[in-house]
Amino acid sequence: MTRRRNSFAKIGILALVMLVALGVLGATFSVWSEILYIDGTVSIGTVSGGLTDDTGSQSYDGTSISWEASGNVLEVTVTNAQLDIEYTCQFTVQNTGSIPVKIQSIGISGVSPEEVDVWITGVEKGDQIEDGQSKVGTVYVSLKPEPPENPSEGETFTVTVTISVVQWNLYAP
Amino acid sequence: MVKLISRSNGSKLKFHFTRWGIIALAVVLALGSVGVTYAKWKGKVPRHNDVVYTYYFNDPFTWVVSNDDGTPDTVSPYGVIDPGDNGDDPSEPQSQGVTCARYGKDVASTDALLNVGFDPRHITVTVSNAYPCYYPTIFFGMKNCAHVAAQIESIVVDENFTGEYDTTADDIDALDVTYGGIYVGQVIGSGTEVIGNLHIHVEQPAKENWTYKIRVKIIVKAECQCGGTPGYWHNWKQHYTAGEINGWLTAIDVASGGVGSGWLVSDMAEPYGTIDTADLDAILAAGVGGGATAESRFLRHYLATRLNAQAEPPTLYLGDTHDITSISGYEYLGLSNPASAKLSEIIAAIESKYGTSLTDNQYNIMKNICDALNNCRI
Repeated sequence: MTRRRNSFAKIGILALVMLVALGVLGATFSVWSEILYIDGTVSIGTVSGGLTDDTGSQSYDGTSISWEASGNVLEVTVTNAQLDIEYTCQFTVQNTGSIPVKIQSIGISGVSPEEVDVWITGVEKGDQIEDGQSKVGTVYVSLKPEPPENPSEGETFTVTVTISVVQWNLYAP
Repeated sequence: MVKLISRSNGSKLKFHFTRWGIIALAVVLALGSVGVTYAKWKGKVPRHNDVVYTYYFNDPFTWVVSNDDGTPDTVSPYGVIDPGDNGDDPSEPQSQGVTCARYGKDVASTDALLNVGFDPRHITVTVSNAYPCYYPTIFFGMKNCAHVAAQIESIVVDENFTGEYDTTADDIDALDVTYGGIYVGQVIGSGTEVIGNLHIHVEQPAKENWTYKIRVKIIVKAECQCGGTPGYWHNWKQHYTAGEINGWLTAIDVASGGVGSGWLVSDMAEPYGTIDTADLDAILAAGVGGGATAESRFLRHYLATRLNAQAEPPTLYLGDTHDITSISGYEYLGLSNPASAKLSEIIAAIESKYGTSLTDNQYNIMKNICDALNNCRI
């Protein structure tokens, strides 16, 4: 009986020795290799910009201009258009993102350039607008005096101005 | 020990002796292993930016620099790492010490921190307000502070790291993360620091107002192949076949230009026969003992150096640089850049001394250099 207990004790001690040895061996081995980490967080900003929402109108002696700006489209409507009147309205292009933008294009449509002159000042292609900043432009609309009897005179028409912006370093001249 | 636990019964006495013997053995084994662990681990993390790291690691990052934090950073002894860092955003990857193209604006920024949580094995990079085409670079130092050479076992880039259990190395369209200066298989000698870099390129598909997480995992292991010493090569039969050894000796012979044109070739193959393991044994044996000449002692170490570089896998690399200025009399070799001399240059300088009349001191200088190389001390 005593011999049997001794035998168990021997096995137990041997198992303990093996456990210690393997554990220490593992610890030793583990420091033979080391892991290094480079962890990165890349936060992407936002590119966002366009026309500030706005509506308004102005009258002159039986003729008037009204406008509505939203997104990247400005619609300017002239009612009872008259010769010798220069209709104007202002608009604002705002950078609402966190990355600078540039005005990539300004498009004008809706009227015949042979009958109606439309031009813009204050804002032009390539203008850069920093984040949080804005730029104010003015649209001018007037009937051309030629031909003598301009078919658009007395008419109501709508000029559409489209402005697009891009991330500043992706601007294509 | 036996007397202290003696019993009247002889068999019991034997049992107790065995048990205590086993316990003693376990203690010795444990202490020995701890000693090995400590020997492997001991290394002091150098001081940088007025921070002294008190933890000891084998291969820690030693410094980190971002090239878009608005300040050119100087790291001794390299000088300015990221010249031109005025905060304007980099538009191309930067090389160490060379300016790079930048946009004329400071829109995004990149910060890199070392030792977050007092662990210099961890660099944290934070890129803010990035946009497509933004291209910052991170430079970092990685030093082998252990007493044996280390080797980079793997470098894994995960461009979409989702958490500690993420083991997949994702390659996403939104980012292009690349590294340089370090490579898999690179051996970093004891005390040697390497400079790595990490380029982060934001690509067009990057989502606005989005955060990407990346992880670069570098595994460095102790270079267990570091045989190196004359004693190691004296026991070459335990590591290599005679065919392997003879092949390497022949390659050294060819590289040295043949019989009569270099140290080892002429001295090993007496009388100018085929160089083989017998010559190896002879020259290693001749370089020890009281009767050994300075020349034979030098040749013993030099032969080990050449074999270390020639063996497959090598434990010394011809293209790796070594600083021999800690060896007294190093000027004798006449190296143009002794603080960073390639092994191939050191060997060439030693070979250039062949055929000249050398003093014992000059032999000893070359011996000491080879000895330091073989033991990864330089």
